[in-house]
Amino acid sequence: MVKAKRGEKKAMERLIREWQPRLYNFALKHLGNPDDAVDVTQQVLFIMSRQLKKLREPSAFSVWLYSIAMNEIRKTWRKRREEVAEVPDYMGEKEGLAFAALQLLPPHQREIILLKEIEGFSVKEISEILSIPEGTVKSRLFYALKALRAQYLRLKEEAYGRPQ
Amino acid sequence: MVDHSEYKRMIVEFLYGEITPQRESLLLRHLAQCEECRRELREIRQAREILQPLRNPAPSPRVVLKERVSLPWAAALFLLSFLFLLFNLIYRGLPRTEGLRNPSQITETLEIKEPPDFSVLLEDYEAYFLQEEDYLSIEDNRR
Repeated sequence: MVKAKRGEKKAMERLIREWQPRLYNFALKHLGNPDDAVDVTQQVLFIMSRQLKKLREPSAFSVWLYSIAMNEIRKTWRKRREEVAEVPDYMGEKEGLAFAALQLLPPHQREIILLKEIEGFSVKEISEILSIPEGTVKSRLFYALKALRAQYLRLKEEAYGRPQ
Repeated sequence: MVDHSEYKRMIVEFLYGEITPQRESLLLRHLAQCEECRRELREIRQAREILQPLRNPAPSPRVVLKERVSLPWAAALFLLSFLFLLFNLIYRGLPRTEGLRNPSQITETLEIKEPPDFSVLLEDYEAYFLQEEDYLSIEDNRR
């Protein structure tokens, strides 16, 4: 990353290859649409390649990158919030249900679940990415997980009926 | 006295291993006597289990980083190319006349040379320009 920051093109290419799958995953699970996820990933990596030299703290790279990603995801979300996400074909039954339940949450709940559960950021890092206090991250995460569970159980009941 | 909203935050800290020993013992003492918070803890644990399959990475498209010709260079190349084409158009592409003559004396048919095929040249130039341009593209193998 430091070499890429210095402007070494090969290092930048490696950095992009390293982060692209993670960003794509994150965007896909947030936006629920592969085409939007591709566009957001491309845009985030493009901004990263242009702005990296301005990053002061190399250790804060992932937080900085996900701040860009959140910004781009929110822009995309605002543009197409009416559209309904679709469960990707490759997902199995449980993953598909979890994905669908996640899509039913409001964006502010979905993003916090993804940042914590899928990306594994700490509460402090999430508070930096989203620019909200750590206490808000914790309580938002608590209610987001509760809401996710409720949506998941509802979808499961719709699909398979009420458990006996 | 800690209110329930604070215990909810503690449950999050506890489940993600981000709780301090002092807060952990406070939470555990509270859980021992609060059925509601024990239920909340169970539900949050279940929610985390629901998310387990989503941790599988999605098949993702490949990103290619291409080289870039900086804008001043691109502009200079374009200008040079344009001047070259203009030069050819003026000095080679038009039929030459040998001084002014009375039109009535002109008996031969002027041979008009074919002008250079600019579309081909421009396509070549554009292809070169595109090849050298820096952009991030994702190959279209999306699902």
